[in-house]
Amino acid sequence: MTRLKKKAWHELSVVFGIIVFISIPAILHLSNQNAQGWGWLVVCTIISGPMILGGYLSDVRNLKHYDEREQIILRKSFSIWSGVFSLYLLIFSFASFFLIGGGKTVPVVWMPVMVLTGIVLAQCAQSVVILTQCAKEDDE
Amino acid sequence: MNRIQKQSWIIVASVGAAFVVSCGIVVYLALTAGFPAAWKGFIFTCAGGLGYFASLLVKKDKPAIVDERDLAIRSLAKTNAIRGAFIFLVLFAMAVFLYQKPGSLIRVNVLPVSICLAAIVSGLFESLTYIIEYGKDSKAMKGEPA
Repeated sequence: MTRLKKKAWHELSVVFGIIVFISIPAILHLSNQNAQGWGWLVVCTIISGPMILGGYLSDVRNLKHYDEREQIILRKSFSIWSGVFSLYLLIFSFASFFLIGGGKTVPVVWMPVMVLTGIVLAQCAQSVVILTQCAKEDDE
Repeated sequence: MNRIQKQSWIIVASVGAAFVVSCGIVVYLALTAGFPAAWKGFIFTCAGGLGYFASLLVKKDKPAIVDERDLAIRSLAKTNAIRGAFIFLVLFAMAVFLYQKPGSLIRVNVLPVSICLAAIVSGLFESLTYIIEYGKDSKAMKGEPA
């Protein structure tokens, strides 16, 4: 397994796992419990950790460790990540606005859940792009 | 100063001015109507987006030569723009979530407004990267340490 494949699987499992199995259930559970205070703040900080981690794992800062071919794949995957993330947020927010109606209200939990699900989707798309590209090259 | 630098300065100036004006409006609303109604004043930051249209009016450079360095700066600017918007969105989402009581309701128009604000922040980060990176280059050309 190449470094790039390992990176893709690692990111997919870590970010996806933390967000799907910890962050979203924790937010929904705490929201139902109507939790408040410093404990809530600490939990929110822990929950937002993977979100920021997800963004930084997806960036293109440490490209020096990779060869030219891998750098191109990583750049392409990062642009896919940002494209999917922004498109999802645009569709989610404007669809909610037009379907529900401007004057109506939604639960406040929608805000972080919107961003979290966007990250999950974008992370999946990025890892799939890397794995597909690697598989293509293996075939060749 | 090339076209991108001029456009960047226009965007930074317009977003900066819109932000200062919206802060003034928030202070005014806080004194007259109080919070949370005063938070609506920050919506005026969206007026900073007009800078993007103004930046289109800047004339194109006559010898439009794009070298390796320009491409590297452009790539860095795009990355920083996405990173800036992402961090803003995460912090904004968590701030709204913490500010409101959990289980409470928000107006649905907060969602598209947050996306518009994130787009403006992304433009601001991109412009700042252009200004800083081209500024470094002009220093290096004069022989100063970049």
